[in-house]
Amino acid sequence: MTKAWKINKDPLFRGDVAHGVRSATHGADRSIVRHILYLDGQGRDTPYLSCTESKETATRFANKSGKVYETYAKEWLSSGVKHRSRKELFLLLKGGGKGDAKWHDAFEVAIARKYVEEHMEHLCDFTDQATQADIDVAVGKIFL
Amino acid sequence: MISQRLGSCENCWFNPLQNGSVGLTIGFCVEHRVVLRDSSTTTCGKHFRKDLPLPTSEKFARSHRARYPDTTVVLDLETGKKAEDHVQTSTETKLLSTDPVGDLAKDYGYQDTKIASLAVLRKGVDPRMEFAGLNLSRSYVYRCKARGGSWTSGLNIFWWIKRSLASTPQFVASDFRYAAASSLDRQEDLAKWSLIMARLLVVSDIARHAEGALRDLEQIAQEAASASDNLVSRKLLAWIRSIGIPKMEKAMPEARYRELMQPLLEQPGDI
Repeated sequence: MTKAWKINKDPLFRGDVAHGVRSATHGADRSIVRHILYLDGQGRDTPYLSCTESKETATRFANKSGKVYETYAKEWLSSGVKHRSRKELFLLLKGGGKGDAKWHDAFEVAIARKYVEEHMEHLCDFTDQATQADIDVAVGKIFL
Repeated sequence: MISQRLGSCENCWFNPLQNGSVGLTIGFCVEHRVVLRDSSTTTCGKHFRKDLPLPTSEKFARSHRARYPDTTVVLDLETGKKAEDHVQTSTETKLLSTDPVGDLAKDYGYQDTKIASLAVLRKGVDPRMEFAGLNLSRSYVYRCKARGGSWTSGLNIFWWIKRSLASTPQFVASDFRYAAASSLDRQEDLAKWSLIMARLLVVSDIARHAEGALRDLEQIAQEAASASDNLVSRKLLAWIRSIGIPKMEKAMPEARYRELMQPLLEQPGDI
């Protein structure tokens, strides 16, 4: 876990249910803090999917009944998916937050940043996709 | 990654044995009095997130309760049905006695009053014990106010926290239950930052329920977060020493605390 992650050669991992990666939701609230803190709870709508540099972390998130999926961020753009890297998230999650991470509570911004750091998190950003069908196709393409 | 584990027993303030990557591999629910063998896969209608400020935790708890209305047993997070005995939960608490925090947690509110248990939990320098005491303090203060209870305990807890607020937590390797962050040093410092912030969250909760000058401390966790937005514990402690503690002293000077406590201390049976 100590070597620096590189977009050109390193994969990202996602722990999810065994029957496939759950899709993101078209038109959902694009707040990054809301997404990372899971503020809408079970069944929430989000335009993002979280991934991690650490396979061990993804395994923990998959729980015993789930599965770990692999993906390469360098290939996302060809499917219309934006890569919000850990570095970018760090820049956004400061103080009251910036851009899509702007938020009314600085403590909650800090907790979101803590989770990004602890989980070595990156986001797949589907906000540029025109329809839900486009998102579903992109999710199917980028996760192995 | 699915963040649903943030709505699981792992992240609930009624489970004092786990706090992020800090804690035992098993949890314990002080409400249902069961060992949580797989705490990231269970929940219940009483769930209350310990990682958030009170207003957001309350909001999350309301919607969570709508999805998991059953408050009588521990539930499977995915199905909402009763958790599986022996696999997800267990009533066998004997093993908890082998751990100092586990031993206190299993007896919380059982043999002595809850405030007496909290008084024991605050005395150690063990950061796992402090996490446990702080999270249970939040649930205790919240419930006291919800039930229209006395303010005495809240004042005591406030005072205990103020006295230890600037101390640096000292973690040991066995305090961590899994690897997190890009290095062990960073994981340790994030744990320190989280523990210090947990102290401030209790202060903020008490202030939210209070009237008068104490109320000025309701945003103390947010102010501290802004001052340490790179999440470095040293920077957070520097803010606490230079701004946080003077602010708390202004809101509740020692003379005022003693004045408030004196008549209460004269009443037998009250703490």
